[in-house]
Amino acid sequence: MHRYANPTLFGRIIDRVRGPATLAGLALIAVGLYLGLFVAPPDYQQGESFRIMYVHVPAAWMSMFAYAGLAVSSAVYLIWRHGVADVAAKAIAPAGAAFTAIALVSGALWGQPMWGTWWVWDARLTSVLLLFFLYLGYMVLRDAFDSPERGARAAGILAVVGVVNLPIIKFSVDWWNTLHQPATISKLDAPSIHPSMLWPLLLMALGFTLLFVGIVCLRARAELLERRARTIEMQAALGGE
Amino acid sequence: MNDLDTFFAMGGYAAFVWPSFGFALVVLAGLWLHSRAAVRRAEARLARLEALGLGRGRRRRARAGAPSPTAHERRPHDDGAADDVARA
Repeated sequence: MHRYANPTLFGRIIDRVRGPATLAGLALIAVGLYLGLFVAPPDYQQGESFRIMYVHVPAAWMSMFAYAGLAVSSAVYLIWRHGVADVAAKAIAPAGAAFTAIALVSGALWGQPMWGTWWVWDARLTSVLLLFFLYLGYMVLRDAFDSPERGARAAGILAVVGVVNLPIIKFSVDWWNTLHQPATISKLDAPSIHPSMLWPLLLMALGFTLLFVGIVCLRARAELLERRARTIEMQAALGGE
Repeated sequence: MNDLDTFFAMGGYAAFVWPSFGFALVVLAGLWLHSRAAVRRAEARLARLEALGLGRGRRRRARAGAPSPTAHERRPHDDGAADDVARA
């Protein structure tokens, strides 16, 4: 595992993964959209509006998956001081924020016709809004210091502390009896959803995941190049050798 | 053509379904463009340094993955020159 802390190897891996992950992600999303919009039948209760699920649920899953990645990367960076883990964390944050924003907005657009309201302060909605602010806070905190390293450490601590929000999001629909519906798909029992509706959802989720990986690799590449430039400038300022 | 109208109408939910997908498209496309621009910015910055005759030296240990020299002390696996060539 320590091998991956080598920036050269890390750089080689992200360059190799970037293109294929992005393209495979877009292909799966295309198939998922086709099956979800054209093939899946309308829901017996929600009619055609249930199709919002195909963007809302995968985005919501990604918002949590990305945060787990951000927290783990930050923890590795704080504990072992691996610069590569910090590069990964910095790359993940904006992508996680983007998926969280999609989950919130598509949720509001679903809530209005189904619940009659864009927003309620229910446990699930509030905890996901907090997740969005954690991402924003992470990004702001990184840039709040003169030294990039101090910013990275402070933001990393925020990311690790904020991980307590993940179980709250996950179980909020079970712990508090509020408006948001409980999970339709869980590992413990058979999903309460017809296969023709389930397949597009799984394809969209996998597509979102691969797209996320591709974009994070792209951002990590940018960060590696920036750091190399910064190193060169510092060496030049110190008089080269 | 009528089928298409029916499809876009989304059973009366068009005003909610299409903005959801549209917003996701705009945000993800924006994120991707922003990320690509970041790579190009960094490449341009490195190119400027190279033009000044800096950063070519493999003699110097370019620690690409470390925010500062102190944060990345030598490890057995670290062969030093972490200057993987960025492909455009």
